[in-house]
Amino acid sequence: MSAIPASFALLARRYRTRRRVAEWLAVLGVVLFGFTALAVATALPLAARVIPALLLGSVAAVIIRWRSSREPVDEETIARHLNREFTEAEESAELFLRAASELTLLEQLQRGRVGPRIEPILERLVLPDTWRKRLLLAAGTGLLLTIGLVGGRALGAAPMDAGVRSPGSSVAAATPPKIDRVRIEIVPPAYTRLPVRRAEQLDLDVEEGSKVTWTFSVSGGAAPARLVMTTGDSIPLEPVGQGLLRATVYAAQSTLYQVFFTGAGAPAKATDLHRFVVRLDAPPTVAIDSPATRVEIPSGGALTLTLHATARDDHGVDSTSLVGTVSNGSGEAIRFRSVTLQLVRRNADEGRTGVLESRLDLKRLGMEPGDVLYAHVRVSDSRRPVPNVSISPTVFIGIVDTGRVAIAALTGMALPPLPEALRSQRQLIIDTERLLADSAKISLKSFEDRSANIGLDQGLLRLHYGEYLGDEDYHGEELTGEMPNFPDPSLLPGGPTPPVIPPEHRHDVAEVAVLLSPVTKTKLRKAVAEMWRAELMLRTHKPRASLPFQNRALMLLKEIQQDARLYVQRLAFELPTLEPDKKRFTGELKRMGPLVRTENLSAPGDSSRVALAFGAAVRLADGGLGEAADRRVLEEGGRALAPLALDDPARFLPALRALRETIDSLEAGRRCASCAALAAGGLWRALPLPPAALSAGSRVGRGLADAYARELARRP
Amino acid sequence: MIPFVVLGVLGLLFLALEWQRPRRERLALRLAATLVAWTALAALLAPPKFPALAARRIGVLVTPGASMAEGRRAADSIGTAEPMVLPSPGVYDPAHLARRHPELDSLLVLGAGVRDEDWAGADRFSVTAGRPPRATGFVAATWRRAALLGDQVAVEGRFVSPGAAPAQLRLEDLSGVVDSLETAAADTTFRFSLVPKAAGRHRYVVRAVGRNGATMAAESLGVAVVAAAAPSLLLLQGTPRFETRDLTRLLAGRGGRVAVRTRVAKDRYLREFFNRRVEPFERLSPELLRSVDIVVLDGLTVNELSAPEMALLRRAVLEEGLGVLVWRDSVARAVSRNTGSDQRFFLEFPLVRQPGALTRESGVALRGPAHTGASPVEVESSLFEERPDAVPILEDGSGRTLAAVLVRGRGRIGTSLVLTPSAWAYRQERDLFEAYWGRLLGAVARDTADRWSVSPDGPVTVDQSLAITLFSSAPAPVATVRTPAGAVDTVSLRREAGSTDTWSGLYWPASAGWHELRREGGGSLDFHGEPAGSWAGADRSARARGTARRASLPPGKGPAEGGVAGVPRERPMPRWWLFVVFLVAAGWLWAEGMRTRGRTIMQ
Repeated sequence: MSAIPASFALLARRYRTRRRVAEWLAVLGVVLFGFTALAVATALPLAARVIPALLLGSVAAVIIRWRSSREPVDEETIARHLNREFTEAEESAELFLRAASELTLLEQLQRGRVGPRIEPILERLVLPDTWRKRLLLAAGTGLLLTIGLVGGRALGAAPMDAGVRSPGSSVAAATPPKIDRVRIEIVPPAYTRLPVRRAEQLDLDVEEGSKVTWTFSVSGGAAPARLVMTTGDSIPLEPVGQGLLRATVYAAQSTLYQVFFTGAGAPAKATDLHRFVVRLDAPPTVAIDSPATRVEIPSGGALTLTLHATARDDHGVDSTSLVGTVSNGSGEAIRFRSVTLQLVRRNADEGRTGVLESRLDLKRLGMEPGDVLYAHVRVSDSRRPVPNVSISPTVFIGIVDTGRVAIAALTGMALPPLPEALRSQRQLIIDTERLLADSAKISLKSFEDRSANIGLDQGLLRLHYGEYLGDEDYHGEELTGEMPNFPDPSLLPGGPTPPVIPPEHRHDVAEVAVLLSPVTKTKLRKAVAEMWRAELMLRTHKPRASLPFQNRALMLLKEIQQDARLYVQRLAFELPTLEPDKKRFTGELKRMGPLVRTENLSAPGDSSRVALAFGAAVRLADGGLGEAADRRVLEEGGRALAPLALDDPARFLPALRALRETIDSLEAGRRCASCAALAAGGLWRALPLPPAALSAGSRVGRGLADAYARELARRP
Repeated sequence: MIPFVVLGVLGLLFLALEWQRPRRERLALRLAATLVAWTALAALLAPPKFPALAARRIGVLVTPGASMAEGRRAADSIGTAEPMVLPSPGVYDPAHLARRHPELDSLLVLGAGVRDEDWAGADRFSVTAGRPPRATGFVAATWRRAALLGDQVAVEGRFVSPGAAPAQLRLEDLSGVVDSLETAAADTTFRFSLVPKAAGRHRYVVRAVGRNGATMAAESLGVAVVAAAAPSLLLLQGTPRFETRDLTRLLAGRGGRVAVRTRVAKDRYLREFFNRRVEPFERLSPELLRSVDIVVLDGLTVNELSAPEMALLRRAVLEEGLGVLVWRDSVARAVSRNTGSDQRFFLEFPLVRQPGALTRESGVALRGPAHTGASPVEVESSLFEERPDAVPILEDGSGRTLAAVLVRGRGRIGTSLVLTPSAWAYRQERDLFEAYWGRLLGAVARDTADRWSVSPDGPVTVDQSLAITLFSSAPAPVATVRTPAGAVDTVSLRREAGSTDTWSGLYWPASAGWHELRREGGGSLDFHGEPAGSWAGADRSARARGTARRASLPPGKGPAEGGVAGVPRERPMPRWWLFVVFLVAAGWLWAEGMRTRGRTIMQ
């Protein structure tokens, strides 16, 4: 009998426990449903989905607990339930909840009578659980809805994308795709011998011809994507694994690029614009270190010399050759022939530098005095498939021909032939040598007379060349300080009276001297100085001592003559011979055809594309509505801006990015006035200054009225 | 009206009640009192007016920069005259005061004052200007509101630094600073130049930046740029000319339509067409001349023109505004009094041959930042004489005219002493070459399009009057303004005295933004209305100038000149008089009623 109250308490506690479990299950169902619904309906991140779902669950929990608190379950509830449901209780179940001392005699008798009937009922009692059922139903519904949403999306998406899905994108993304990481592999061309390298920054600087492979790790489900270049190229990114997209490009030209997702529901732009700079393979450089550009080998001198050259290339020198051409003869009889020359190469700096050497044996090349060898070095680098080629400046190596008449063909002008009265320098040398040979046979006076005469001729020759230097036409007071002190001829022992040339200024003649090149002028001045010294020796009866000076003077004159020679390869076509006798002054016009010419010249350039894009950007920046053609116009402006952004990213890259933002916003139907304003600024910078206007538009007012008004204003 | 009807009915009712009273004592008085009370009540609603002679007054006009309290203090201090403060917030329109207050004969203007153009219609006032507050910031600025693409636009003005602090003045566009200047004094004049890079409506900012980088003042200005089409050219030359090729290439490259006829042998011509279809033009025709803006010819060609062709060309210049540019060949140089009058019409210029060489080397002053250092080219040594109908176009470094146009009817005939302008093109100075031809062709080209002029030259702010001038040959032009909101206002235009094609009108922009001024079926001009409150320094400066100028003028014709002591006008009867009458009449009626009622109770 005493166990009955304890049974009441036990039943009540069990009931409450079951109900609490059901409540929590219901709350869990609500949370799950909320989380799944948010995930399906929105693209919020995980945290942003969890917090609203928890809040929803909290609200549900509060409501459920409030409803439960209004229907508490305890021993009295159990007793009331027994009284209501079982007649055996005879409405006396509450008697078991009171202490025996509190019961009246009649109540004690009734408890004793009912107790045995209640005990079996309590053992098999099943309390009604309408709340529990409702709660379990709510929890079950939540779970079922959750399963339905997830399953339905998975099942529904699969057939929709089946027709267009690429092999890698097996399941459409439930969340928008996002690039988490990128790995870029750059494989330079083999000929560069540069190692393969990897990068993780999207701004790239690669060698021309490099193979560049981007591998993007994409989270949130793979989606079709493309690599879009500002040059207009668009390269699809191939799926190569779970969440991996790859594209490969062979670097040919610098550009800017951007990654776009092309799948439905994915954000269009995956990255900003980035630089893809292609470093072109520079052509090799080659320079001839020695000999100098012009070499004159004196007659009888060594006919061998060594040519040294240095070739350099950024990736390595490949082939080198020395190309020579020999000219023989002179005037119209000149002939040219090509010769093959040996070139020895030593590599340095891992093949990037080639030290070249060639021993030139002019005799073996068949060269004679007066011949000239023109030689240059040809170098190609290792670029493939078409190498870069460079050619060095040409060196001129000539053998001096002293056997010709010493008439210097000075640069740009031909000196007139020597007057009959003048003897050439070579003739003077011959005369001097003959005098020395005859010195043993002739008298001293005759020796001195002949020496003085040769000195006189030497003086006249000196004066002749001195005229070209702008010197005064008398005994050289104007010449440089290199001149020796010249003794008075009248004081010379036994010397004849030299011809008196009165001092005079002939600057009009000297004008021609300014036409001489500085090098020629210097050499001519040296030659005249040598003649001065030779003349001095001859007039002081020392012909032997004068010979070195005369020879040097002759050598310098020959050098001047050689300097005047030019080698120009003939390239032009042969002009037909003019026939003026047949064509001119005949008055024949019948064969003249109709003289009409038409041409259309106007064509819009890059700047007009930029100007159009600028106009559209300004309109959008001012809050104007985008027009149908704006997107195309802005795209074209972007293409014109891209090369500038590559060259000067600090000035133009932000504007180009803003331009892309503007285009994206146009596509999305949004307005982005700030992007458009930034883009407009960049486009404005990119616009060149326009040429001067050719119209009458800047005129204010018109016609005679203006002149009348101006005149009125002018007169008081 | 209804109150008077009600009053009338009530009046008749009261009169009827008085008439029917059983007690007939003082009936007449009571009826009279009732009538008086009723009349006074009606007059209270609409007080009657009576003629009066108002005394002349001095008005105190309070304008921006002065407070109403200052105005009242000034009115008090004027003394014997009866002062009058005229608070006219928002509108400081002296013409309005002149219309509404005929008793005013003098105005004391306090504050910044009134702009010059706003004094129109208020000539009769004698104006005394108070001391205006000092204007600071950008106190003046002028620029060309409309320019052709390729034209240089100068922005000139004056900046007064607040507190005389040094500043850097900048002209900025979308891409940053275009031009700048360091101020050397508190009051600095500036001249910036800009070349708009594209057609359209462009906004620029003039900004003063202090040493600490903070903006001291910033104002915006608008320039509307139009890409003008290159003129259409007909070039007739008696001999092939080296300069022709570069000129035609320049024009055709800009989309201009060019036709060239060059005599290459007797009765043989080379005809070249650039951007236009091939058409025969051995003879000049009216259609051909109407299709071009400029005819370029040399003396040889003028000599070869037949009499009808000469007459046709002459009429096209005089009546249709065709421009003619003459090459200075030997025939053109040899023109004299003995030359035929038709030839002289085209070839005679006020030129004086100089002794010595026929040509000389000379630079050309092609203004602009890119054109200042024009390298010398060969020019004819003759000198232009000054003549009213000769408009100088180009000068050399010494100010001697190198090119001029003669105004001939509606057209112009021009020539240039520069013989080898293509030398610039071959010296890699193509900008000079283009600037030269731009100036020359622009000066002679047919110009029958409408041309607008808007005054003031400086900023136009909202509610500021804008004087519009239209040069148009249209018989009765109608000008409209499209506001920033898209609404279209019509501007009334009147023909200027003494001109057949100059029309003027006034417009008040009501909102900030771009306005498009357009003639129906004609040309247009865009201008930007600045928001109210902007260009405050320039506004104050203009007001001070306008007020000072007006104060320096004597009053014009008006009532004040007659020496009359007052101005006749109707004055309303004071209401309190009527109220007193009503009170007395109604009071007497009440007292009478009380007296008779008391007597009845006692009875």
